[in-house]
Amino acid sequence: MFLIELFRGMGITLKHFFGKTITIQYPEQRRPLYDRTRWRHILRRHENGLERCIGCSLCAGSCPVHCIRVVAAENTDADRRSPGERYAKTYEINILRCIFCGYCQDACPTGAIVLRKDFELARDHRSKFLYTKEMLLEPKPALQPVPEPQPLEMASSTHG
Amino acid sequence: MADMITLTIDGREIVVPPGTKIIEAAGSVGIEIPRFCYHPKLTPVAVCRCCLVEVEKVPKLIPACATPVSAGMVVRTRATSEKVRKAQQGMIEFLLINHPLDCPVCDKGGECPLQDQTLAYGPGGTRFAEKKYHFKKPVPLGPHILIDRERCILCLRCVQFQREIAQHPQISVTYRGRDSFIDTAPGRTLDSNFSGNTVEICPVGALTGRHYRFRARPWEYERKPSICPECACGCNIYTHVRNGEILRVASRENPLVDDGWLCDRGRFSVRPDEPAPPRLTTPLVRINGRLMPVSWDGALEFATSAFRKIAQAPGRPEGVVGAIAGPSTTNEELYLLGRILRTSYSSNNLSFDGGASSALRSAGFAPVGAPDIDWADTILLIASDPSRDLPILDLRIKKAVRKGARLAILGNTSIELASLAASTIQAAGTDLARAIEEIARNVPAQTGQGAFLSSGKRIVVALGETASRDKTAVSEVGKLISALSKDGREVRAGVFAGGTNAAGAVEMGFHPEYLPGLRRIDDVRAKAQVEAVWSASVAAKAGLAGSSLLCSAAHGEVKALYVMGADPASRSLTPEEREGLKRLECLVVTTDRMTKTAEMAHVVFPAAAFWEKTGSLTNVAVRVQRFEAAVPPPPGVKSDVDILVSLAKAGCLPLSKESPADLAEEIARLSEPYARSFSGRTGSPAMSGREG
Repeated sequence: MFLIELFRGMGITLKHFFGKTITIQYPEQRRPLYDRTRWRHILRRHENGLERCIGCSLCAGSCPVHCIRVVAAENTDADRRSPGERYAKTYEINILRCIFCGYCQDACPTGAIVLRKDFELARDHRSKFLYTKEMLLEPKPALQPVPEPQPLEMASSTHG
Repeated sequence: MADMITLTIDGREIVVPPGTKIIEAAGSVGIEIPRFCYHPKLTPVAVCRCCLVEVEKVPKLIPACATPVSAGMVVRTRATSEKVRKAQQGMIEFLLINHPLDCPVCDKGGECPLQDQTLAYGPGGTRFAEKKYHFKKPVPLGPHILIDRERCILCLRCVQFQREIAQHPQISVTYRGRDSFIDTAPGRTLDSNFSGNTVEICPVGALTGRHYRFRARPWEYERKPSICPECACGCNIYTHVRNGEILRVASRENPLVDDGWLCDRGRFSVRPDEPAPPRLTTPLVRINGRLMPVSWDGALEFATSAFRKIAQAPGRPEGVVGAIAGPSTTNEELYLLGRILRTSYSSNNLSFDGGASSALRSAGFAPVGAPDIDWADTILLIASDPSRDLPILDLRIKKAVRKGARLAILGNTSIELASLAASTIQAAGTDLARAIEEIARNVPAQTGQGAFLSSGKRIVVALGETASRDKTAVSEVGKLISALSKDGREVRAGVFAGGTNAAGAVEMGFHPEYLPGLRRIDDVRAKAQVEAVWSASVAAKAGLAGSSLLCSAAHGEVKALYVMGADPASRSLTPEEREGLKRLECLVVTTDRMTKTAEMAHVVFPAAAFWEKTGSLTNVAVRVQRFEAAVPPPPGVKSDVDILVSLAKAGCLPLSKESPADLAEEIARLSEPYARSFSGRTGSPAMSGREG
């Protein structure tokens, strides 16, 4: 009686042993990620190299776990970071607190903060989970046209 | 009330006094009418056209902000009239034609009446597809104010404020029609001392303050009620705090104090754009001629043993210890320091370093403040310049004159308010007392300024700082008051001078001649009352203050000095006074940052700055106003009350009551104005929000 059950079980094992392999050899092999996967944030730039982020703090305001901290400052013509008058002097995300809900991306009026597919966020120290603006910001495009200090118009033509 | 007017708004019958505007009548029953240019304290200009309402039997829509009610009027607002709704939507759409929609960048975004009212009453979209106006921005209007012409909707609140309230008409609309914008006269700037108010009443983000621009969003900071520490007006304010830093100061309307306005000195005392001097965070003790950082316990021990050694010298001399306190020290700190010095060191050498004392009060003068100016029909300023010393009272006097009060000025006739005065007499120095005496003589004789004053019924006499120090002038004012207080005339006289909390210092007994509650030290019965509360005896000899305190230190009579939040060494001292500071055997200084006096000290305690303290201040009208800390003190820093309690403990002073509540209760037993304020509430009952 006991032996029959044992062989039946081993039979299942044997069947899968010769069947199709499901296991993926991560990190050498990777599964494709869904298009709308939401993982680590980046701060995007305009084509002309200016930061999209205008330091409006709407991301921080919409964040349900308060993991974003923005301190804004004023642009000057000599040191222009973004179109318009305001830019983010400090932009920090406490990634340990973040729940990757994407509300910040929804709230952003300029499409500056987006959640992308980088999910490999493990680090060896707590202090490395505080992402600063330098860590989040997209690198500048190689070819940099002269930035045009033009007044900012919001994407939407409606108001209210 | 027979002369009330009954009208109907949206089918509701409303009874209001005559002269009320439709917008106010509607507001009184909670019917909201959108508005931009209307402000309750300004004369309506009706330029934004957003408060249009339909009135029966009137062919066109009319602005509710500029139309007074009349009996039997039938008004329909947007709630009941499609015509009004359509007009208001159109007006808002029209205002937004050239208004940039960069709310996420704009400083007003989040506290913007245009944003709020567009959401509430505006159309969902715009039909304007063309390019918007673009101007150079920002354009500085003055030292503090910048204008963004794209954002301006030309509501004229700022122009009206500067013209009517501040009476500094420095800005106006230039050009006409589509080209019009707000500007100063060519070559002039908006340097009015009240310019910051225009930023606060601007219904859009057009006017911004230089020191706050783009630093935070309105929903990010905590609004904490507080009191402005810049002068003796004691304006009620909100501090806007984010991440432990005060970013700006906004008004918190209190009709008894400030009327909702602030001066630029107070408003722009907070400047997050300028680097703050480094804070002192560890106690320092002079060891071998150099100030060295030590522990709190070590510094307390050092200070108490030095003080005790001096006070318990053979013969137990009285008055060898003195104290100097600076302006913007709180009532509680002043009271506690005074009490410790009087009971443990038998010294009455208490010197308040914040301007004129309010010695007049004890001479039978009632305190004079904003409500008294509102009450008066005749105001006499004697050698006083409120525009410089007490700016918010300057606005009150301007308001009183606007409402028909008459202003007389005696003293310097080149001050700003002299242009509003109906009668001016130039006098200075010793002439002043003589001039007052002459007026007093002229009152019964009905000539000159005497006749002018005696034709008033409710007279306010206000003395400036120099006049209040001049003993002959004060006694002449006393005669003038008794001459005026006849024939049904009522007189209120007081001092329009003194630094922050100067009135509080006297009331708290931080005065060489007065014990708490304005009790004279040579009045045996009054002294016994204080001694009973303190269960300790108080030296009967009046103490020294000001210059004589430092001079007696130079002669070796005063050997130890406790300086709380003051910096006497930074003033221009006489050689003798400077010698006094140098000769001290023990100089203890509590300060938030290194000062010249601290550099000379034997012990320096790092104390909390004003915004880190909880306590109360007394304003020029002896109104005690409580406030709470806006930000926590940096680590290692203690408040002056805590330092004093620790010192008292280390010095084995029997302080039976140590908690702030107990301390407040004890002060309330001795001081009547303090007791009145002490009911646990902070600030004023009127905590109005922003206008909109």
